[in-house]
Amino acid sequence: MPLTVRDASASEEELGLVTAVRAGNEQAFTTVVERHYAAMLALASAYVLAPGTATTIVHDAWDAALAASDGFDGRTPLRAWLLRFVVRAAEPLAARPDGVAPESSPPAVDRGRFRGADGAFPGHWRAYPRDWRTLPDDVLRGADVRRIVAETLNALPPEQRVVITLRDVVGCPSHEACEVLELSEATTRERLHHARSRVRAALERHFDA
Amino acid sequence: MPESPDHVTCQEVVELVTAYLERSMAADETTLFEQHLNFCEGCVWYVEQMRGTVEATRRIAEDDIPADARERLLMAFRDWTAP
Repeated sequence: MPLTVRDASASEEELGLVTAVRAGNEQAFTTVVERHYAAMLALASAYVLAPGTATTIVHDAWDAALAASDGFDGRTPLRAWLLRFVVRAAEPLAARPDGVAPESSPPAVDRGRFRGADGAFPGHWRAYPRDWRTLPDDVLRGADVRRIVAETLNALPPEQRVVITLRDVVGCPSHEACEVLELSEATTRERLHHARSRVRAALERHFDA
Repeated sequence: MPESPDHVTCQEVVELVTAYLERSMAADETTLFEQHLNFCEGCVWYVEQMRGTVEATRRIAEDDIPADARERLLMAFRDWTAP
């Protein structure tokens, strides 16, 4: 299982691991790879989608990280430090570099589902959304749900896909995602909101069908 | 921010929900949001849908490393450590 780092700096254990890696300890290197490879590949895939290119980005990132490993000072957790190398390797190859696209996202929920300004209770649901907690577990957790989530992520604008991948697929806390992407909390949260809202809407269409 | 200072609408809830789940709303805004949830079952279900969405997204994570990638990285490491 990948380690979930909640602190804003590296642990003593991580500093020890990197010192061992620098000394040529293969076991230490394998440990770091096993903990963080999946997160690095997920982030690279969010930038470029094509699996072969994403794998190349991750390998380039490892090469760059090893070359720079004497600069690891523990001020950031090891995962965030490694993910920065993925961002640097991936950004030049991304279909649409971060920050270039105009940000205009549709409302989280279609306006037609709320009462209009002219009647009673403006802005309130015309009909309530469904309580997903009443859905059978195999529907909530089925292969169809995985497929729909993956397809919706692939269809997102890249700058949103990168954020939701770090936060919800990899499980980075907010401050770590901001640091890795060099974005403000407000921008990160806005992109996360649009991305999560799109995934929710896709799942709702599936569950209500 | 909600348009009215004394309540939020369902239409505002669906745009504020991420800030709420991230605990990044101001205290007075959180109060208005939670007051709304106290009387609106539809929005309670909506917030639960967003929580379910986060859980569903977490489940697409792949934690395995392909064997060839592991091997390639080890080769790169050996090259890097070679004198």
